[in-house]
Amino acid sequence: MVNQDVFHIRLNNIAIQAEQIMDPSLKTCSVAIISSEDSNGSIIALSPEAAEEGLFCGMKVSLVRKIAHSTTLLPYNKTLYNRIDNHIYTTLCRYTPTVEPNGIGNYFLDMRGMSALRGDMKNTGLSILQHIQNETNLLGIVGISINKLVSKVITTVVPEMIHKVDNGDEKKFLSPLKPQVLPVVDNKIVKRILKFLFIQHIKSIQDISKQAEEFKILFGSYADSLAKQSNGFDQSPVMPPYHLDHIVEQTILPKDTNNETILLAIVKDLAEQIAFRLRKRKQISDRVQLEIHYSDGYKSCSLGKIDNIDDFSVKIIFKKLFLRANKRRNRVRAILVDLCRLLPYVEQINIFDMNQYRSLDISHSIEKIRLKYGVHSLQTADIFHALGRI
Amino acid sequence: MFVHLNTHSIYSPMRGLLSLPKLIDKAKSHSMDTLGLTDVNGLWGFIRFVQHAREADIKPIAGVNLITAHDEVILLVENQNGYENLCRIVSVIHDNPDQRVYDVLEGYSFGLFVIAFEKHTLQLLHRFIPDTHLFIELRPGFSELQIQQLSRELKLEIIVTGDVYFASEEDYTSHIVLRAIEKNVTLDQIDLSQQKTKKHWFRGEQDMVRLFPNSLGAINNSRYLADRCKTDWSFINTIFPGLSLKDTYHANRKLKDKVYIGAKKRYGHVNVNVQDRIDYELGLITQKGFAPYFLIVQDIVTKTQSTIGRGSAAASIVSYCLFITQVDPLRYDLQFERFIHAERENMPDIDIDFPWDERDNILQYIFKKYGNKRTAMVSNQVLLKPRSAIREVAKVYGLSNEEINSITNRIGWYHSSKDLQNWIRTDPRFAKLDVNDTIIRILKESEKIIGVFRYSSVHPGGVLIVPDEIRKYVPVLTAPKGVQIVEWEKDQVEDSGLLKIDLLGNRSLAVVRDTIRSINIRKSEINHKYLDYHKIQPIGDKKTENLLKAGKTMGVFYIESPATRQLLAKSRVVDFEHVVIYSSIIRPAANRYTNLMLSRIHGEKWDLIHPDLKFLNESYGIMVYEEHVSMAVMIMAGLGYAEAEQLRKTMSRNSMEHLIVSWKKRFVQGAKQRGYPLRIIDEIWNMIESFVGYSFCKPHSASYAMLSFTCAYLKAHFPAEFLSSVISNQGGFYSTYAYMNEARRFKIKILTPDINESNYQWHGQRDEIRMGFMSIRRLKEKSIRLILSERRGGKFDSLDDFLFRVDLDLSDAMALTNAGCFKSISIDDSHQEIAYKVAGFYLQDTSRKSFEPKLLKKYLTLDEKYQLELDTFGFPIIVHPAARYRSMLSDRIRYAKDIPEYFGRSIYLIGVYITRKESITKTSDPMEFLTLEDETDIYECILFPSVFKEFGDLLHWEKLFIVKGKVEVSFGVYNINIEKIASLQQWLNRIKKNKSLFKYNFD
Repeated sequence: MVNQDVFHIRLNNIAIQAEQIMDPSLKTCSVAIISSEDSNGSIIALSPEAAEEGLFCGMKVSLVRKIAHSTTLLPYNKTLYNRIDNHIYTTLCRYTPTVEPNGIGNYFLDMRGMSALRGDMKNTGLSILQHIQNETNLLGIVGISINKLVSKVITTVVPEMIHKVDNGDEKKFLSPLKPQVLPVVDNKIVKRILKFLFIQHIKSIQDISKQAEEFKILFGSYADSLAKQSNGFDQSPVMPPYHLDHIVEQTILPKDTNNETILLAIVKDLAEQIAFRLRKRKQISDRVQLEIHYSDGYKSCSLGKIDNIDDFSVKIIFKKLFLRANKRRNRVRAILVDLCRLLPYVEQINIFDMNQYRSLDISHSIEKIRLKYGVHSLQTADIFHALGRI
Repeated sequence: MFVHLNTHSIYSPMRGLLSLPKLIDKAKSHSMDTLGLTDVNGLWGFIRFVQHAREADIKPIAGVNLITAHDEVILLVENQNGYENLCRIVSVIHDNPDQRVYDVLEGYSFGLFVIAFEKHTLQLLHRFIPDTHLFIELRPGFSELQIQQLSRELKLEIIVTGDVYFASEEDYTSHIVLRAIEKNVTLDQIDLSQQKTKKHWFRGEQDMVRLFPNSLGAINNSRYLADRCKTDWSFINTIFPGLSLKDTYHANRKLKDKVYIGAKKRYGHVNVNVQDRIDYELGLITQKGFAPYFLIVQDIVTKTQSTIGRGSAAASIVSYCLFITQVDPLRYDLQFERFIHAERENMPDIDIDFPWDERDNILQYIFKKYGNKRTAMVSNQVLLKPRSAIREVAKVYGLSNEEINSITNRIGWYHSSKDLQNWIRTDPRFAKLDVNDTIIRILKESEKIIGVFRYSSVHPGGVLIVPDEIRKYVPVLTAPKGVQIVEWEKDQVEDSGLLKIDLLGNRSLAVVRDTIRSINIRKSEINHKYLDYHKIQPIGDKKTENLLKAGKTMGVFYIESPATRQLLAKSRVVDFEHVVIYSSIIRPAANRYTNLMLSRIHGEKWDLIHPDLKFLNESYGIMVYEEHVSMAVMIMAGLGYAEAEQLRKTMSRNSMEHLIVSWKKRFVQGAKQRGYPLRIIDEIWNMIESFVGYSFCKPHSASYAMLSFTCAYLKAHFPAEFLSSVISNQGGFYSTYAYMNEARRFKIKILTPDINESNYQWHGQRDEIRMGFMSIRRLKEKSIRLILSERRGGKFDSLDDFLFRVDLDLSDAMALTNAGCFKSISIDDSHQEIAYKVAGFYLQDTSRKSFEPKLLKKYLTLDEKYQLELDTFGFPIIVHPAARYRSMLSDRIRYAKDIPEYFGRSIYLIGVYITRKESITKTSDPMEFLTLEDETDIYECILFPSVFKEFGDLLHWEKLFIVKGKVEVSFGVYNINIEKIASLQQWLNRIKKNKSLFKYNFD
């Protein structure tokens, strides 16, 4: 039987590491990445030195300035982090064709059958880390196991550079750990029952899961996933990006605001970016989720779908979703849109509304300019004005 | 010639920005002699308006800007009938705002002038309102031409109005902020087309002419109409509650009979003194026609056992004999004249306290007996205070709760400064606050809206009963609670001549009732000697006196605050007369007099400030009671009784604070004329000023002191029963946790909840208190009732027995399990086994069966139990929080019981937060009194301004402290003068980091 080795590579604190690469003098300094220089901005990532000074993610910039004078505050450089992330992704693709990005700085690698080609998997893992370090100077850790679940748990709990859990040892590896490392425990009901039963280690879950009937009574519909996860079973495949079928765009506001004019302009901007990508892929989406992240940590979202891919139609849908989701007066910190269930866009002549084609033609024309001069070379007045204000 | 007939004050809810004094000032500055107030859908501030207008010599016109879902009109009062109709109309609109003005006015238009601007509305109204009473309104924003055309078409005259909402154009943003708050939206979400424009500011005549140059006739019309409106308002005639006995003669007879029956019960034998006093009082009462009022109050009082009459009514032997009050006025020398005086025009209220949980039944009884037509409760007008104003504006600007709390937590509840920007920038309490541009904008807007009327709620106790129809005196509405309330708050009600009865809920009366009930249950098992509320004789009881002298009065009504506990311990003189004095002198502004009195109690020589003021001999030469103020001003400045009464009223009301200066002037002038030296005049006035905003009359203090003594007696003799009742009735000065630890200091054992032993409430007996189910968080009241009802059928034998008999939902079962309720019926099982059985049982859908744990048998560690208790009750029981840290701390950290040994030296202590009180020094610097507790005792700390400035911020978020301070003593009572204070947890973290546990120096 061929070992189905799955690697999880985690580049801790990629934003901070990236900044330290750009400016090596930051390596031993207290550094924090902030959403904006404005006093209303907040910390997005921070170095261990900064954490020791009592700073934390989400802390207001104004407060940081008061309590930690020696901390270097750097703006969130999305382009840089994305560039590094893409570069690492390309690097990893040299080791296996099946690499799944799992958020910035996190990747799953399907190394099935690679041992014949590359030899010992641990050595391969170390080579990958070495390769990344040589090319980017970034430090990472790698977890190796039979599946994505266990590999990710490894990089979450094991501080070593590389750790491998042999096939069949998953259960043993998980048993002393806290149940919180299992994704299913994020569910409120599961968490509540585990807390009530004073179950503090996965071992206890493994034990009681043997009594299938009783386990089912206790955890209901979650019993099956909890039993599987606690025993280290995970059959989800490593999926390359084009199979992930998600389009995600996010805007972190440089300054928290509840000004609806500005927020709507940002939503419009997101709509243009998404519409551009959909037209490129010639796809529509059956499930669009718009999330609003507020400054106090709350999140609100609404769902919809996209049938037409011209800018105008997408803007209308996004605006509707935004107004539906934004029921609070709190200031907004970020807006995110996540499109999935992407389907091919089939043009069907609409004999009742010719405007749709007009809109699509305009969108294509704008696209030509943008392709030549950059995405933000052409902006509508309200977006330009709104983004200028923040 | 122009008169403003359409102006809105802060009483136009979340619309108007002009306070009444400011509105009147504006009118005065434009030389206007008449002003109409037309707040939106209400007469919320009408009595105040009349008072302020009279002070400024302006004629006040009553009116309302009636806005319904369909149309809008201005109504102005022509005569008394019109006023009554206006009250009825507003009440009808409160009942249902979705009505046409036409339908509402049809039956009630007599005596009212109506001004409208919509053609359709005018046409409908014209059907039943004559030309002489119906006008067309020309207000800012309207086209003169269009209105003139309408006038010609309908043949109605035009009246120009200012439709005023704010003082100047700059205030427009604040008006929009108010609208955004009201509509729960952000500033840019508000639909400006539906709001007023910048034009609605207070204009003078010239500005009005500039605005409407082609409507001079209409401008002059405002004067003609104003002259036809009613402006001679009088509220002298007191409206008495009607009784079925219409004949006063019968009421007087009935009262006399009842008083003498009561006197026999109270005194046994009615001697000459008692009879003389009764006759004297009855003479005055019948002469003034107050007998029906007494009979009504007596009827209400009989509905429950334990009540206490407060206020000046306690000076009356009639009240005492009717069991309305509980203090014998003869024995304690209480002067009836403080209650009813021959010169007094209006009738004073009778205030009665009921056990808090019985008050609603009493109110129901009153409403049932007198009906909604004649009865209503007084309202509580909720105005925007600095805290609420900042909170609401900050929400409009999108601040999160945490950000808002960071500002508002630093503002005291009763702080009334309006200069927020300056205050927050300079006050040390805000030193660590991040004041950015947004916050400054919020503060700026908040300043402008402080004082604006937000909504009205139900006053905790004021009830009005009128002889005929309540709606003709004042508009009424139904509060969200379902009770009918009047628009006015207690002061306006009093000033309007309406007579109210104050029925307040009092937790301590319920504590006394429950304690007596617990004691009597036990006594019934022993000797059948029951305790009777009316027969408890706490005065002179040694054990009670010792408790008071030690200041161990936590839980004792009215004298349990740290300041009063210390005062009792410092004075060590605790007879009834002194406790009455202490109850009155503990006032925010009377600190220095408290210390002066303590010195005099302890033997310092003193002389009367002036031989004329002999009445001050009873209180060591210091003015303590309101009567002292009245007597001083009558003797020294020659004021009459009525004037002295007016001064007393002025001092007790915030709304009349501005008049104090003129009273001072009168007092000083009068006293000078009578030849008193300036030094004495100043000293007396300083004492009088300490009464502003917070003071009591002697009968009131005596009444409260009597209840304090009763509570102290019960605590001294039956501490477990008493303290468990205090906890069960909640709402005391301290938290449940603080009272629980107080019980432990009385050597009482605290038992955790038990499924077979606990009741809903906490239950004390002898030296044990069993916690009640009420203290278990997340356990629903419905489930508790279900358990108790099932238990009546027999105690639960085992866990299975409970599970099969009581059908709960899982969250309730979890709460019971975490509280350890099943330990006694599942002795052999560990906590985890019990949890497993409970969860397994209640998670089964149908045909539930026992669930046997096979693999789980974990026993909880001490730390786990501690965390579980914190989560379940909100406080730990198994170990004191301070005790948990002892093993990690150096020996240098001492115990509270060691404090006396360190007198004059510095001491290190740790402690849990119990309570705190902010205060200010003579130079207005903030300081703090802090009460902490460790596992050995409770102790008091002081943070003087410099320390408060450095460490005060910590008190907003931390509950567990390490302190370094100097032990000081005052009149034999120890205090810690704090030099340094830190969060214990943070300090320990730093120690761990430095790895120098015992070497680390807190200095």
